[in-house]
Amino acid sequence: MSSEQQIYKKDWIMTASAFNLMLDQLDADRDRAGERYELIRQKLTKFFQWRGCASPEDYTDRTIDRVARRLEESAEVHASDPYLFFHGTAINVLREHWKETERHGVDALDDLAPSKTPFENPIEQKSRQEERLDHELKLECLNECVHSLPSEQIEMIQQYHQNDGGAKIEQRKQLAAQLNLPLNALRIRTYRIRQELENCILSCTKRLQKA
Amino acid sequence: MKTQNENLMTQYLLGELSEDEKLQLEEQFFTHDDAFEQLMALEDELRYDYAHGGLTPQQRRQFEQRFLTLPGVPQRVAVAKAVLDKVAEIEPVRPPVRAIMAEEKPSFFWSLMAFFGLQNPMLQFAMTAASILLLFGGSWLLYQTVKLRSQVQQLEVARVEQEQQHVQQANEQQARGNLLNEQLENERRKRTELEQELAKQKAQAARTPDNQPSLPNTLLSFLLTPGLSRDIDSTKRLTIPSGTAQVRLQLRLKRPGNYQSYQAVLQTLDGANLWSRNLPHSAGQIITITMPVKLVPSGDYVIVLKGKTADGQMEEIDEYHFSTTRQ
Repeated sequence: MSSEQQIYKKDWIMTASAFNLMLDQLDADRDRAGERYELIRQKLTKFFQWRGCASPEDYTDRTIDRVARRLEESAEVHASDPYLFFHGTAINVLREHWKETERHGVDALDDLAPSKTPFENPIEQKSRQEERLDHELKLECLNECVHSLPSEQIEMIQQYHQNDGGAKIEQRKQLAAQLNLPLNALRIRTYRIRQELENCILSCTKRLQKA
Repeated sequence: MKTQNENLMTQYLLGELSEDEKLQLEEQFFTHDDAFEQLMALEDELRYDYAHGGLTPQQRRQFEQRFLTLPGVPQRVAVAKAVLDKVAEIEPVRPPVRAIMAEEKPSFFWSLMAFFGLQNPMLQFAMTAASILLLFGGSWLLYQTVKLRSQVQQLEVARVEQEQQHVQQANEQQARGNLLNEQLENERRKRTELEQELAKQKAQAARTPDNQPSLPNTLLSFLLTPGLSRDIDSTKRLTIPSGTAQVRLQLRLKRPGNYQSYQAVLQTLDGANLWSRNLPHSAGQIITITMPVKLVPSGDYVIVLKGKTADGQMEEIDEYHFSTTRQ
């Protein structure tokens, strides 16, 4: 066993060979495999977040390490789809987390769900103060980014988010019909516009802060 | 209108599904990227709908519990709110959807004109003027509506901020309460430790025999019983180690008397008074006196105990004989 390899299980450390083996399972093309890996990471992080884990990034790392370790041990994926293998492993990690929580009765502070942690986290408080400082910058960026959007996109956002309740649903149906799109495609489209707008605001704020 | 799958996804995001349903949905988004994007879009839409005030009260509560507590989400909700406000400020370049759809066929107004053959230029001018007036009136109404909506949104934001402040205050109070409890618990623990230490010391003191040498400057305690005989055998012998500062004598009464107070007088065997002490009434059978050791160098002594009767007379009760040996 080479020195770069592992101490077993919990102390197992991701090695380059294990990581490459995992990428091979995702796609034969290395670039495509890298993209798929990033997407799986994102899916795992959201999975743990949606399941109420306090530190989804940590559990994502644990899951990826475990998948890589198992691949290195048996060199094959037992699930019909490599993504299901990740999902299955993530569920095991999640269940272990639940058992651990039950056994210990209390969570370590780092493992607490955000809803159970003190509301005033000093780090968050500091970041809020920083956010207040660049509030002006954000307003300036918001103005700049909204006006940089094509007018059709602005109208789409305006109309998509008009009204409440039944009127909102009706409005969205009409908008989808007008654009000749299924409703879910309209939803994805507005989502992408909003993402683009928020990314624009973020990068603009960073740029102004540097300036 | 959402499809059934989208409804399931929304329920998943708001934590309403059973474990089996969750697993099925997760398999779907793990294996299908478009399902994952759909889920991400729905989550984002919930954030925008929340910022806009477009969720039902129940959804609003669920969103607050599941998402608003996550790091960075309140800030992202604020951004969503700012984006929607900014977008709403912008005048549409094109007419809204209903207007676009209406443009596709001749308007009711022009159809009516054509129907009645009212193509007269004067009539058209009058109708146009009326339309402009209507347009201005409508614009003013629209402006007022937007303004009112903006005010409502501001009030909503203020309400949310106030709610957050209340939650924050409640959490702070809870934290303060926890801290006080912790301090109280610490104080209790310290007190228990001190009590245990005290008990240990008492037990140790109780184990030390009367005539064993003790630490310097300690107080020695002896029990004396009354006796009339002055012979050597019935005399209590007290060995006092050097360094002892005080000696405590516990005088056992033959029987408890009904005296208002007591007086203990230390005498030599010749009857010379060396020291006396007035003592309060005691209901028990033991009278305790403490005296400096220097009063009793090696020798023989007697303590005469007197009691003050109800009529104020001093009456002799008992005598206690003892001898001391200084080491």
